[in-house]
Amino acid sequence: MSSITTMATKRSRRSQNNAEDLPENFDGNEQDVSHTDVSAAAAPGGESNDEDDGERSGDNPVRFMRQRNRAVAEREASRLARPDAPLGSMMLGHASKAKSAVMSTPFGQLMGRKASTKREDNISQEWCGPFSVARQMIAAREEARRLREEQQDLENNKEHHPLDEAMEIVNLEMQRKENPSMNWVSRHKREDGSTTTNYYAKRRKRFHRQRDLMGGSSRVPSLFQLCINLLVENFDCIESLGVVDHSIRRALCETLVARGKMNGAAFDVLAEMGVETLELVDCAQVTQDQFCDSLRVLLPSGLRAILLKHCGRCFGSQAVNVIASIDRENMELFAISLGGAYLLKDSDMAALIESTSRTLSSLDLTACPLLSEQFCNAIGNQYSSSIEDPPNAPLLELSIEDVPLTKEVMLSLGAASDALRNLKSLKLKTMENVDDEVVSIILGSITGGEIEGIDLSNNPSLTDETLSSIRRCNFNGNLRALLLSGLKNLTAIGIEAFFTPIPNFPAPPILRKLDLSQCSYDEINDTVLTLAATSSSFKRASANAIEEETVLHNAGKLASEVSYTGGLVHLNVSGSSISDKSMEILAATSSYSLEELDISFCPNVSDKGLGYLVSKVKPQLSKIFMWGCAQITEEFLDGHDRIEDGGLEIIGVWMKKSGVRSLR
Amino acid sequence: MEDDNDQTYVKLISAEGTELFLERRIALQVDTMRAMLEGNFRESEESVIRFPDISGSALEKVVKYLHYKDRHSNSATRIPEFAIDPEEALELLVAASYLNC
Repeated sequence: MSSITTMATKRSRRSQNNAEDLPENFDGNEQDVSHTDVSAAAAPGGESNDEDDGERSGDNPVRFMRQRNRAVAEREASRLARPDAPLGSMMLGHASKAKSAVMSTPFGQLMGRKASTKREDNISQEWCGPFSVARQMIAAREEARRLREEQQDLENNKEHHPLDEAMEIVNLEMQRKENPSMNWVSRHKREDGSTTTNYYAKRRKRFHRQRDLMGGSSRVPSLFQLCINLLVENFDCIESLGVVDHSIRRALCETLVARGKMNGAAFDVLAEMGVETLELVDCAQVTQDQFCDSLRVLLPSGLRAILLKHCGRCFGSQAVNVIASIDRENMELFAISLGGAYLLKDSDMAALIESTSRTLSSLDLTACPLLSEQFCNAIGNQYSSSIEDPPNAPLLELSIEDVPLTKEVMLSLGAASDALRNLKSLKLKTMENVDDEVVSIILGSITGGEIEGIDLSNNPSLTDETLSSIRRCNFNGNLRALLLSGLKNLTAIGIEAFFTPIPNFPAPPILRKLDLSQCSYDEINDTVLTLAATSSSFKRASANAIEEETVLHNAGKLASEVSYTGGLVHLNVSGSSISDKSMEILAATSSYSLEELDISFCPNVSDKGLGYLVSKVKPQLSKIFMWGCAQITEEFLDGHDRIEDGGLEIIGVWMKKSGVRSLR
Repeated sequence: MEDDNDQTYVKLISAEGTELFLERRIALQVDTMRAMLEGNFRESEESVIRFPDISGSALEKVVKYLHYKDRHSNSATRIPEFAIDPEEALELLVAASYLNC
């Protein structure tokens, strides 16, 4: 009791000394006694501090504030930490929300009391703020788990038939026969004696082993790199590079850009007379005047390709005028690739095409925001077959990425003339106005049937109709690379139909490079991949639907039917729901061809499936990307069949780029 | 020993005709040389490789680099710098690009 009086004295003293709004009802109900005991126990330090404090509060207001805050915290803490605990048991007379001095908490504002009655359902109404969202999610998850566990119990309590176990064994045997991957045994011996599961140590060991096997002592820099570094350091002293290979110039350019040393003078050295390819990874430091001067010198002396990235500053009207002023007979440019030319106007681009169309065969534009209908009209006019004298070069590659062309403009690109008839490679990426109709018209105008690569990634409005257009334009069967990354509207049915022979329709393509990453998770499943892999492995596109049916579904039989020259070479199915069955199919169809495989973020692929794949595929398999595959354990990573030879690079299990020294 | 029949050393001949000897095992670490020595080429029988495009001084520097790399690979200690004269850098760069080392 004496403690109560001591507490009372302390409180009254405190209330004298400051303007804090202390709750009044410090009566003698049970809760208060418990609280007093708690706080008396909890704040012996506080009490003694108060005593000192009483004498010295006048001298030390900061310390006093701190102690005051501490007392408030002690009082409110237990309630704040468990906001959805039943208020009745935790609430204390003087600490009720209505009378609490604390309205704002680190977790958000207290909104009101009405939620306390329906606490379970309306947690959202009590609080608002980022933390509350997390709490709601956790609550929902716990709820779901609880429900799930209840259901589980319910199932487990079903009656057990005496033959259940035998049935299970039979089922397992059947599965093993069908899925040979289940029998794969890893070479990795699990050491039962080791108690440490030190993931860091394991991964480090794995990383070092891979690095050593891949010929790397990455600590000693290569002679090439040493020389490049030295030259870049002293680049101001270089007057001329002379006759050096383009790969050397490019390496120098990249290092100059990386070191921030790319400036006008450096550009002059790189772009000296007689180069055939002008490739600059980053032209941000080059001025338009300088660039034009170089062009005036380079173009007549045989410049064949201009490949520029970040060329906004230097590639504008002036540059186009220079190019246009060159005599058509002297023009030898066959490839232009421009990235980020934000000064390039529509009319300029049209002029550029007109002046170079005699020899230009490859056009690649990325992020050029001003291009629009004049550009498309120019392509249509210049490359149409109606221009006979002198005949222009055929347009072989067209790549447009992230350019805001409208739908009408793109339709005119395909429909206006037969400019695209000889196209071998078409890329239309990340353009919001590309939809099925546009693709159908453009692909329809590729009448030459030579198309070898199609890339339509990241165009969100494409659907299965596009697949039908692709199949139709591939009537000669030359298509080898198909990249459809990020197309969320493709369905499993559509893709299956794409790879199925249909009478009176061009045969399914025999692909070497397929990219279906980041499409809808559920839609890219085992059936889709089975069909894709099998159709890529046949020697000749077969239009007979019936005989394919029986062969497709049995991996064992498949191995004897497929040719050794077919199969996928690059496959990217990240973010899909494929499982070990796909691994078996791949092993059966592409074991002589598969070089790179990307199965990042595919949670249904397990150690056994991957291990089986690696054991069956021949040594040309060099890279497997598996970012985000936490289900792959050391059973595969330390026990796959090609641990010793070091030719297989596994990327994505250790957060360092393999072969490169990490920054530590 | 400098006994070619022993096949522990290979002979490198530069553009000017100067001859350098290099341990076979170090030469095999260089992709281009390994391809020449392991294929069915005359070089592999005679253990002689000719480099008509690389000058004597550059070739000598390349051999020095190969010894430096061999010495310091898999070494835990700090690796000293390999000094290159700025005047010979460009020629050395072309040679390194050719040899891929």
